[in-house]
Amino acid sequence: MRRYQIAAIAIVATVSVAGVSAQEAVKPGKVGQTAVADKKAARVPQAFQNFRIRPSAPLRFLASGEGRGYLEAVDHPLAQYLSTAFGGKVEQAIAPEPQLAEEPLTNESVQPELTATAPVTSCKANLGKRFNLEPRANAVPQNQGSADFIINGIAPNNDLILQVANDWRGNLTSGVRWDQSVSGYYAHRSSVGDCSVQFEGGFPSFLFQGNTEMGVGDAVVVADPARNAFFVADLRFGPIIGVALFRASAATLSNPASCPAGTHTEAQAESCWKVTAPALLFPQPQTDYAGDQPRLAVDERSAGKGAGDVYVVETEFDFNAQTNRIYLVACTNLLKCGKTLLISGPDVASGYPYVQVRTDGMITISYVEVNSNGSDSVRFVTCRPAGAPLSPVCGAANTVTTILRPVTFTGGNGQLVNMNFPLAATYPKHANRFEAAGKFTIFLVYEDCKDVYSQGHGNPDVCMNAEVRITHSTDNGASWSAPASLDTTDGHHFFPGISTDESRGTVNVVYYSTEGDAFRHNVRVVLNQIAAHSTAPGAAQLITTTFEPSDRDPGNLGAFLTDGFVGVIARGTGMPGASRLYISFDSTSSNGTYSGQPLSEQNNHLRLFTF
Amino acid sequence: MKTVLAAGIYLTLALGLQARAETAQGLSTPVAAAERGLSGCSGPNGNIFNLEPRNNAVTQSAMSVAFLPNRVAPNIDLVVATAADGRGASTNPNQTLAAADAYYGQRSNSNCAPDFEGGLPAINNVFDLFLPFGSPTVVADPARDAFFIVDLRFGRTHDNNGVGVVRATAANLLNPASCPNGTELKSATCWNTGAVVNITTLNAFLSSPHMAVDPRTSGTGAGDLYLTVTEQNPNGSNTHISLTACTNATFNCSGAINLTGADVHADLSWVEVRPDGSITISYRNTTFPGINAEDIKFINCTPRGAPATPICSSPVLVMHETQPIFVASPGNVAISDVLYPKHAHRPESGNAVTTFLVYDRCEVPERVPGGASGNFCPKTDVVMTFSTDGGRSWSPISKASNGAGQQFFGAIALDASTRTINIAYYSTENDPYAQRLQVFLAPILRNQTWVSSTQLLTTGVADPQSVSPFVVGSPVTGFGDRIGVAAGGTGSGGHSHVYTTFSWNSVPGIYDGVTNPDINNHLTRFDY
Repeated sequence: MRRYQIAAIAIVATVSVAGVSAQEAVKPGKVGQTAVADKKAARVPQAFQNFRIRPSAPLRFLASGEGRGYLEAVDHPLAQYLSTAFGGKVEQAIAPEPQLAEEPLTNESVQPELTATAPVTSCKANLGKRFNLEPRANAVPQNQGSADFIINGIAPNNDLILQVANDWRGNLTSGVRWDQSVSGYYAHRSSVGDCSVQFEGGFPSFLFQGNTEMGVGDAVVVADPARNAFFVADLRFGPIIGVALFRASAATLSNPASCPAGTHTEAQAESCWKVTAPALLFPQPQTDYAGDQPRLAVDERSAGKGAGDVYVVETEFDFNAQTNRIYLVACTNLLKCGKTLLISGPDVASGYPYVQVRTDGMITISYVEVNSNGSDSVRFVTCRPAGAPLSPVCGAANTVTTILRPVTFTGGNGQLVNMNFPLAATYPKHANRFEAAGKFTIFLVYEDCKDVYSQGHGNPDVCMNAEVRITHSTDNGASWSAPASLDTTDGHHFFPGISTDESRGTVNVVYYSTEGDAFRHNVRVVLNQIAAHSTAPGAAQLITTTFEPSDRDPGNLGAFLTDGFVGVIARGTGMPGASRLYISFDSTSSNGTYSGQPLSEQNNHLRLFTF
Repeated sequence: MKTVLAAGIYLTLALGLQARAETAQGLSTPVAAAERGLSGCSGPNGNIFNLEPRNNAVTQSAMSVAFLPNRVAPNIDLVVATAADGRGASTNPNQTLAAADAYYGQRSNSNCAPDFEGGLPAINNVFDLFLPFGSPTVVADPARDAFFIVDLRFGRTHDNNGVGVVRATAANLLNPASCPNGTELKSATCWNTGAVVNITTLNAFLSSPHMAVDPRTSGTGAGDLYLTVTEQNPNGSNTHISLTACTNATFNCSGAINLTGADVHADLSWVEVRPDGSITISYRNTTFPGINAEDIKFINCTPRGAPATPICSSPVLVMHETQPIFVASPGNVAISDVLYPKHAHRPESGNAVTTFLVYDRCEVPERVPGGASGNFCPKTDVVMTFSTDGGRSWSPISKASNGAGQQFFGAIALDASTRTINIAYYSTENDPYAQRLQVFLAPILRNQTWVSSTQLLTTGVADPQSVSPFVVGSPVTGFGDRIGVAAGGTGSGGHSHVYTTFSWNSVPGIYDGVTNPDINNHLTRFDY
């Protein structure tokens, strides 16, 4: 009996050791430490911890102690505003390595390729093309790209392409090599249709009510072929926060005098992007609000009420009410913008808005309402254009579906196991397709968690297999088909993007997939097409055939500055074989060099698929 | 106030493990070989070297391996490996081993398939009941046909810690009555003697223990054990290396002595015994805060016969390493690495000895991006140096491999039968993205001081980013901090074996019916 009592005590005592073993793990220089950066990457800054919607990577960087410490160390202009915006103190202020500050700005349009795989010669190649001009020495991540193009905008079979992405040169370099904007742009305008990049830069800062508004990322782009223009929305930060809306004509972008070749200085970025004065949408004092997750669409019609109008949506973080709401602003094609319009009605935990314009001018918006039980309700709103700057007239939100097991939900549950994308979350996107006689089919895709593993004991649930699901509506979003999975086997399928080639009625769904990787980690880019007049997805096609660890970067920067979606845009001429699908995705196939040593690093890539 | 437990006190905790056995008999059920992905020593991934069921599998981070050649039968070795096993972690709510300091044995086959496993027993003495607390390392003692495992120990009732050592004879390990097949719930019958030395308060926190056995059969110190550990100064953050000497079977131990007095951040010791019985210790000394040059030091000690304390020289500088890897990722690999010098002695003709020392080094200065980023080394190498004068002078460093990508977790072992030095390490050289691992072996042949050619031990790969979704947490994390290697043979060609144990995730676990990569300790054998 005595022996048994001692035994029981011994086992209990084992449990009590835990605290000390943690103590051992954090001692400097000890073996057995875990990768600290991985833990940081998953953390949500304190200012956002009570929201059900997670902030995007740019906001998270600004609000985090680590990001703020870094910006203070490099004397970044934004550093002065961060304490008042997000409270608290920096966690550490570590000066940047000298190499980051010493590289001169290059005006040469060079694209050295130190690829980990076969050399890339075209964006139709396996992994597409690295779509930036960043020098390879001390390269930092570019991610979350999106692109649009004007088909044959340069010459037959040579499109004018503009891609935007989070370019962390804006925060991680001193301003010598880059203009300190995280909102990056990259353009192809060469007479050779090779997807080469002729110029790049960071969207410039501008004054709003006397305050300098700097670009902090989350840029998205749409083209307006009818008016030969491009529009870009991005996050702005300063004493006033908001979303910027830029416009540049194709003529301006094609003109080396306005948009010189190479990497732009701030002055060159202004020359390129301020021909039309940018607008600041959703302006709010940064002490009380933060805007996030901007998306935009343009009414591509050449005539009719609203033709040429631009619609921008955002997620608002209200720090006083601790709510998330979705708002919309309508602007004319020349950026005369109207009032802010609440889209999400009574919902107070709304995020991930997505906006499109049908070919009849109707505006369609989807977003997520995160419920208190961790499920997501996908909402859908239709709006009738009123002619900007007048706000459109919007209906109440319908619920498309309720996702019981979304990717990353309350309390850190639902994160993708094995993946280093800590901000991956269910993000519905939709595309409209004109059928006939005023009828449209709306397709909506999202990722959810097919298999959740619940360890229990206070540990968060994790997502073992994320899947891409699709649903459609033929009654303007009033009712929806039962969501169906695009998956055929296990593995993560996530970050779906969707785009309709209206010239032929083909809907394109693109996403990352780990299918086929034994470690369920490395990804390939996969496409499912839905033929005209059909609602049945076709077989999955591999867009990239190489499995890539897209989520790993030197110092694990790419994870902290993590991606949130894949960019997809399809357009065509109506002729078979002449339709283009441009896919913007993260690739680590190019090496940067660090103290002269090659290491794979994250870049915005562009892949062209023709059909 | 430090207390050293000197005499052979060894009452082990048969009690607690009996209790667990009484309540959880089903845990020892053997798991089908197919389910565990067994493919033999020379399979593309070696062999998984634990008996964990695949449902809700947790991490086993490989630590060390030792063996007695041909001890079971001709060409069948008795092999023991250690790992940090999440099944025994105190943070595991479904704890199914007595401790996270775990052992695994092969005794019935030559396929690197484990026959038995278990968590180390607690050790009871007059001061406290000492529970396993991390860093288990196994060594073999061929001359006395025994194995030892050293680890950290934590007092149950008092705020103290110590260095634990348990012993098992080969006969005991081969006896199914003492060490039954399957998952041991009575490991105290398997490891039936033990002691705790260098007992200190938790203010004098201990870490990174290591041990060596004098392999000789005669002479002063023959068969003695030497245990080293990093010990924190109770009055501050300074650390030093302590050494304790014990007799082989009775654990009659000396007091601990401070070997590294002038080095205020001595850490990561590695102890070996030369063929003449001299004790040698290597370690690193760094400077905080930040990343600074690290000194690799080497100490020679003369045995006096335990429990008498050896007489040790002042530390000699092996290398002033200006580019250490210091808590950084090797390239983009999701693993953390440090400079941990390890050495081995090779007897030459006459009484000469060549000492080889390996460590991980950053070929360029480690990068400290700051802010949100973690430190990383753009190019990590396993480098080696050697001494032919007892450690007084050392050769310039050379790389164990000229491979691209990252080479790290260098480990070293002597095959005394052929006088071959074997260096094992991870390398990413065959992955275009330099993130997935393979295990390599770099031999230094008799009469040579350079690596002749490297040998790929695993044609399969592992991805450190993919881990068990059943989170156990510290101290059992990921791919751990080392691989283990042991070598030996008969001296005849083709009869030398090099065992390498390493963390690997080719065998998935099953989680609510869904398979996912899981990290296991694996074992591979290379014959020459």
